[in-house]
Amino acid sequence: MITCKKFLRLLSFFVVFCPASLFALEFKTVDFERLLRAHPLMKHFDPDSGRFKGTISEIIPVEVMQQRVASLTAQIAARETAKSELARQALNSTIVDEAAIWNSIREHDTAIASLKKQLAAEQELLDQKGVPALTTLFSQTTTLVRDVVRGAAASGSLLINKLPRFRSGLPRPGENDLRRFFFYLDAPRLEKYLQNSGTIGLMFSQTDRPVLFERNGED
Amino acid sequence: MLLSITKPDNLVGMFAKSDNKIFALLLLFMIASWPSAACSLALHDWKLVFYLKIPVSAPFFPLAELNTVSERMQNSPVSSIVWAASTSWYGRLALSFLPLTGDPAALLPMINVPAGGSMLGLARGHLTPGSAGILLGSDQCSIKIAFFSDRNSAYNCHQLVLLQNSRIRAVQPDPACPWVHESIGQSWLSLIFYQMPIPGRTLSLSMYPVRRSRLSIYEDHQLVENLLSHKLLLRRPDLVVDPYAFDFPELPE
Repeated sequence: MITCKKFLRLLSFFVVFCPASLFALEFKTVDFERLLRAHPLMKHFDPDSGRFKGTISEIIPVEVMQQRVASLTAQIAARETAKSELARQALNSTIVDEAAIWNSIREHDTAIASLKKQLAAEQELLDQKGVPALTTLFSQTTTLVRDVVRGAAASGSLLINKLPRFRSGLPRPGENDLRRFFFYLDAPRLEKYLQNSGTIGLMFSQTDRPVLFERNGED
Repeated sequence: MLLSITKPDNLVGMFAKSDNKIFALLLLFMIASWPSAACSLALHDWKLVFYLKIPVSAPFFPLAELNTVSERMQNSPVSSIVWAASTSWYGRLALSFLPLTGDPAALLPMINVPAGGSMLGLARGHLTPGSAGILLGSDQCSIKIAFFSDRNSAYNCHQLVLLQNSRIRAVQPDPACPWVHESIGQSWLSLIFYQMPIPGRTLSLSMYPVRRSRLSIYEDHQLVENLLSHKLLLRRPDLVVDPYAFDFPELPE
C-alpha cells in the first residue's frame, strides 16, 4: 500500500512537471512583432518610405544631396588652393624647410583623398536621385533577422509563430535596383522561390495569424 | 612615345639581385597566365600562406605613378613626365608595356633623371610659365609577395599577389599655378588560378591601378562557371555581381 502511494506521488509529480518542460523544448510562442518593435533599429523605421531614417538606407532629398556635393567640392578646391600656395612659396625661395613643406602637402593630400572618396559616394547617390540601393536595406533586414528571429529560434524547437504585419508599402527601389535584379545569377534560387511562390503568398497574405513552421537542421 | 636618357644607376645596388629574382618571377607568371582569363562569380575566403616583403631600389611596375599623372590630366593638361627614380632594365621594360593599358599617361614622353636630389630643387630648375610637364619622384619602394589559398575551394584555388609600395612626389612647376602632390602609391598584380598557374587553370590576371581602377587583363569566365557548376568553387551569393568586388585581404606591414 505504501509502495503504491509512493508510486502515485511520483507519478503525479511527473504528470505535473515533466510534460511542461518536455513540451517547452518542442513548442514555444514568439511574438516577433514585439521583439521587432523592441529592436533599436526599428525606432528608425519609416513606414512611408519602408526604410530606416538616419541610416544608410534613408532616402535623401535631391536638394540636400546637391548641397553636400557642392560643399565637398568647395572643400577640395580650398585644399588644392592652399597646396598651390605652398608650392608657390617653395618654388620661389631657396630658403625653405623642404621637410615641413612636404609634411604640409602630405596632410593636404591625405585630406583631399578622403574628401574625394566621400564626394564619389555622394555623387553616386545623387545620380540615383538620393535613393540608396535596396541592397543597403537588405543588409539592415539581415541584421534584424539575425538579432530577432535566429535568436528566438536558436533552441531548434518548433515555433508557433505570430509574424508581425507592418502597415507599409514596398520600399522605393533605387535607380539601379531593377538592373541589378536582372543581373542576379543564382537561377536555381529564383526557380525555387517561384516553385514555392503559391505557398509563400498564402503565408504572407495572412501574416497576422499564427503560423506553424518547422525548422530543419540546415536553417 | 617613351624616351629614357639615363643609364640604370642602381643595378649593382644592395637589392639588385633580389630585384632581378622578383622580376623573373613576375615575368614567369605573366607568361604562364597570358593565354588563359577572373572570377567575380566565386566567393573566396583567402588564407595567407606565404608572405614576403622586400625593399627594392626601383619600382617594378610604376602603375601608381602613372595613375597620379592620369589624375592630374583630368584637371590640367600634361605634356611630358620627368621621372626622378632609380630605374633598371626591367622597370623600363614594364614601362614599355604600359601603353597597352590605354592609359593616356603611359603615352606621354618620359625623361628619366637620377633619384636622390630635392624634388623642389629640381622643380626650380624647370620653372617655366605655362609649363605642362610634370616632375615625378618615386622612392622608398618595397615589394610584397603574397600567396593566398581559398578555404572555400578546399585550398585548391590560389592567388599570387605582387604588391608594390612607393612614396610618390609630383610637382608641376608652372609659376602661375604650381601643383604639388605627395602620396604613398600602391600598385599590384594579381593572378588567380585553380591548382596550377598554367593555361587552362588560370581564372584571372589583373593589375591596379589603371585609370584609378583595377584592370582585368584576362578572365576565364567559362572555367569559373565550370568550377562553380561542379561545386569546386563557392558561388558568390550577392545579388549584385560586381566585377570590382573581389581583391585580397590586407597584407601585413
